[in-house]
Amino acid sequence: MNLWDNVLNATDEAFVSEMLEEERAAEERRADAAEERRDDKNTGRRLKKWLLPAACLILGVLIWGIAGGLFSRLAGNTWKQWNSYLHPPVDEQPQALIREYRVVGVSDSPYAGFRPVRVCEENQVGEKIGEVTVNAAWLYVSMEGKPLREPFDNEKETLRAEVYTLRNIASETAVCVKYLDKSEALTLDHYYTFINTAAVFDSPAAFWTAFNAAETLLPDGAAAGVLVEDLKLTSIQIGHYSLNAEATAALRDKLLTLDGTASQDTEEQMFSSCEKRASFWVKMSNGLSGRVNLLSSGYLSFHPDNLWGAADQTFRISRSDASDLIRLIEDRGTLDVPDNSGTVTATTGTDIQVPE
Amino acid sequence: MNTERTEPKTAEKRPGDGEILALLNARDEAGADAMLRRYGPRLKAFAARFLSDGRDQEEVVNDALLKAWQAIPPAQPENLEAFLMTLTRRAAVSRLRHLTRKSEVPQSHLEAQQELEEVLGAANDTESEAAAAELARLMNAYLADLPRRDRVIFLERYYGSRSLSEIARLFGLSRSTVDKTLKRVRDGLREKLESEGYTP
Repeated sequence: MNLWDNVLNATDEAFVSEMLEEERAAEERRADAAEERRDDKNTGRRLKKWLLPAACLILGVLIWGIAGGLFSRLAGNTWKQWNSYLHPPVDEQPQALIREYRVVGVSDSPYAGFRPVRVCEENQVGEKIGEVTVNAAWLYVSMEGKPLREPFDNEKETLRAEVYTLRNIASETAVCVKYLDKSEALTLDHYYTFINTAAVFDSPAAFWTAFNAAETLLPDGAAAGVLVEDLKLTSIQIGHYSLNAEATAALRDKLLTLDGTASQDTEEQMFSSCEKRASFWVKMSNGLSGRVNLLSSGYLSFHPDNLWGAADQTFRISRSDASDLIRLIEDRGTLDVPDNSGTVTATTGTDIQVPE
Repeated sequence: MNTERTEPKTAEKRPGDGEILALLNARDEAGADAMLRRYGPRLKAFAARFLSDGRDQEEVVNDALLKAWQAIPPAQPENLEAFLMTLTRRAAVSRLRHLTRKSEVPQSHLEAQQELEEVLGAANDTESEAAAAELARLMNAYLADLPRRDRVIFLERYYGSRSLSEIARLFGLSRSTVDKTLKRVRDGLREKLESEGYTP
């Protein structure tokens, strides 16, 4: 780590507050200046408005006459573009916008609740198994994937699509979709993987099997990064462990053979006696990705990060299995960030003690 | 054409810092959610000045929010945003350690690091890390004596890793004014450190 990064991390928080104040003041000044420029521009526009109306009218009639039907199509597109400017989403809190998803959900049974995760590799596409109608809309969600508002009615579209199986994956779990109607953000050329957000699995093994995880979950030759957090309320102990390929493979093998049952326990129950949590990012063979969380209280959960609307898959596993897995990470991994841990001893961020 | 803006259907009243701290002190998870809503995007933008990858940025923001959740109480930050930025910066800097390719680090951060290395060389050993706290004390003392404008420009550049052009645009200054100010402040810092026995 660069020496100065450490030094600057201990910058007096009062100076940081001062910097933020100045930033805010500068932003306000810029906004005021922009407002003034807009006013000046509008004054100019009012003059032009009365000087040029006749010319504009004649030109407009000519274009209307010549372009005919083409004009109406262009106007439709332009309206769509303007609409997005005129109706900006969650405008009163623009900073709350993190992601814009082209969220699509299949409206027809039996695929209701299936949602897309990514474009599907063509060699993964199996047989055609039906046709469906897909609802598409821009949706605005927070960083944690929570929707900030419902889409406006005029932003919704209905598209026809073909459904295909995915090789080696049951169609109750995931399918492939190819659109038949063109849309603003989707192509007719690609296949898209859709995953059943309502799918529930009885055990970790059933979950891994359903997603064919043995091939891509912590793959051979890859090194995993695992965050291990000590969750005692009065302390902060976060360590980032790097696992070499051998340790990664050992972790994967243990995960794939883990016994457990589906759990409906609340987070409060899960964390009530949890002292440590290990988490790491995984990717399934169909493009679904997310974080696996191992809780020392005896839980394994998968939190998808690219599938909107899907609940976590949570499993009750034995405490000893959970502890063994976390111990494997701690014993066989290399602790990368010992200085990212410490104990909260006082009232400001600068007081988080860095162990030597 | 109807140009009236359509109001979102689920407009929400957003809690302020006081309400968020009250929720956090009561160990109410709504406090963590409110913190994320209010500051998540800003923190992510801040993390983006240190890390190019969106996933890395999200991870450090999550780390920072988790730390804040764990730290409050007993911590009672006077300025919640500054507190969260401090935690985000630490998490981002820690994350930088794992990056093997320079392309994963924004250019402005690399340039800012190089500029500071001229003040006092780069070092990576344990001894230097232990000395960081003393250096930070000296740096804070030096910054406290600077005019507010110079201090803010220094922090924007080196704490916030903004580019020179960005700082110039933000404060309505020319790029060369920002450049000259930073050079003057760096020279002053070098002199201060030299007077305390540090050598470049």
